[in-house]
Amino acid sequence: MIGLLLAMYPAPWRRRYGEEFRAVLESRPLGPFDFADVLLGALDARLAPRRVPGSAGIDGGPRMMLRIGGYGAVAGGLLWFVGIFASSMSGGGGIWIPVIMLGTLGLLLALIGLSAFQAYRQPVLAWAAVVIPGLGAIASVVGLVGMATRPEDAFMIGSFSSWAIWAIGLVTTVGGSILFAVATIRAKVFSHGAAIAMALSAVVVLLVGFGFLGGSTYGDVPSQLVFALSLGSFAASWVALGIRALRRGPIRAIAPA
Amino acid sequence: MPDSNVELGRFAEPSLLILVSLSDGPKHGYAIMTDVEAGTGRPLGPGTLYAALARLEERGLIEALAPVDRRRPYRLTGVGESALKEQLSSLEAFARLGLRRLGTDQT
Repeated sequence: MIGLLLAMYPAPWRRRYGEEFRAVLESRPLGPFDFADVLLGALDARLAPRRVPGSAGIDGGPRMMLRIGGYGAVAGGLLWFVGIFASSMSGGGGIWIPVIMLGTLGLLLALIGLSAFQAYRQPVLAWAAVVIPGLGAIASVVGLVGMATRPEDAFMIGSFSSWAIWAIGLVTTVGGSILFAVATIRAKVFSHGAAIAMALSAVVVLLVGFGFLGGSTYGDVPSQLVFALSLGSFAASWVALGIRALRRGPIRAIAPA
Repeated sequence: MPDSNVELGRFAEPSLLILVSLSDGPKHGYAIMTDVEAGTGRPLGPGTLYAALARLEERGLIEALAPVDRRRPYRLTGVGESALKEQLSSLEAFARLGLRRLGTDQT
């Protein structure tokens, strides 16, 4: 029982206090009060591992944010690309709209979670890099909800149809992601390669999408291929950032210089 | 110490009790627990004890000594002693105020 209780505590805490804590627990029989008290103590230690003297662990809030952001980036990048690719191949939204929606929400989580570390060095840029693509992601979701609930496209906000709202949101998300990539590079966190790939692929997505590179994403096969590849690279760069964030080491490595 | 108290949150009271317990010399965890329980008549759980010890150590109010067997004694630091004096004086003044208002202050 004592071993089980000790196992509830994080490893750095056990290394520092484990032996003496075990000695205290063994000093007298444990009642329900002690049991509950130890469980609460373990929860407290997990929420603030930095409190352990000499521990390099990051505290609960940032660690949790990093994980949420990391999972959001991985799941969001995959779902977003699969949804858009499958939707365009099938010639319509249909069942893929919820997939795109989930992917967009994942990217929104990634923006918030992964920016927690950028703000240490680039607060203004970090805010812009989250707010702009974040608003784009929200607009995308609103448009997708409109498309899913009103297939005949009767859903309107002002003069904008649900598709137009989604498209504006998409462009804002992709464009804003360039800022996010720049913030990531300047903050020297996560993966430089993934951030550079994100910025470049986002630029290509916008250029091809607006027809600046010639051809049409609707009929021209080479343009479609470039568009699909850039969308894939954009999504892959989010996945790579997410994986890097999930493997992230101590926060000290990315604390203010 | 009042600021530290705010930062200690729900561990402010156990922390004060621990500091008082250590004021007459170093003690290990179990000795602190029994000393506090004897002094206050209330239980101090092991989880609360070590959560408070970690906070006090983090703030430099106590320091750990070399372990004896598996038990590690703790003692007050200079900062901890000053903080304890300050907090007890503040509590004393507050207690006097309360007693005076009740009309039971003998001083």
